[in-house]
Amino acid sequence: MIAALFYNPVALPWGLQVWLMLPLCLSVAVVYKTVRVKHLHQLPLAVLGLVCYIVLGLGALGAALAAVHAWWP
Amino acid sequence: MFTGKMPVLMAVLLERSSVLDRMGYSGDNAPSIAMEMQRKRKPWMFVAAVLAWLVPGAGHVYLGRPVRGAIIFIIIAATFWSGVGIGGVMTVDPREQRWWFIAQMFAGSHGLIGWRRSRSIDIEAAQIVHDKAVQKLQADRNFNANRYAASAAARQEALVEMGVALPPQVANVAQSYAGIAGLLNLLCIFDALVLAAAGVSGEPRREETQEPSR
Repeated sequence: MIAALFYNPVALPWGLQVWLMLPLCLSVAVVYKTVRVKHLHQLPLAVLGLVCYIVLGLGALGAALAAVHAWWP
Repeated sequence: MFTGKMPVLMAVLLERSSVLDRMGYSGDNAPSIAMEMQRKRKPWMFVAAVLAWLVPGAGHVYLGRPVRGAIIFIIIAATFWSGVGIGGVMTVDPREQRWWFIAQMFAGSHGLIGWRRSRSIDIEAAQIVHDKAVQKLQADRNFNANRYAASAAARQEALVEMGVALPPQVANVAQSYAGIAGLLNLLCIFDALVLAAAGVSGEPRREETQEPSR
């Protein structure tokens, strides 16, 4: 079953694609902050801050684009 | 190429820039990077870069930062193989998705394994396309078999037949995951290069990173 998972594509429901952005944001935040923080004990808080920053930023960008799409003449 | 005075020169240049300041390796109470390099065994930039590319996180382990290396390795491997898990073997596809493929190759051994797997599928697909071209040529003497065999549509048909073709909405997610894993490793390669050029080895000591009293 695991071999098939890495061989054939999985069927993704349409709504799931947006939620799959969250683990990707977490990965980006963890790796970026791992190379940036001075001390590793600062890492969890720094990662949390960056994840919130990315998600809120992307959310705001998405809302702005949705507004443009809805009200564009 | 990376021996002699070049790393020392780069260290002195970096010491004067703001890069090391943000890393906690300069400031009023920090030791001189150039002096520290003479005291310690200098890490080799080339080795750090190649290790960081080949096995994500290994460059940081080489530079005496094993915990950071382990975190980088786990996260990049998980991200890359999540992408391949979602999209299957054709997530790494140098023919149809060249830019994503370049990004994926920065993931080092993960990217190379993904490429190796997709190549074996590509060879099978080429065989299917060849067989179909021969069949069509037998049915119609005027059929342009060479053109058919070289077309992307014929290859896509063969991949669909094999059950490995990526639907567009899955391709977006899968290739983003695998590609971003590669780009994150590129960031780590640059970090390892800068640290090696500066002769930095090990985690910064706490007293080195304290703000100078004003």
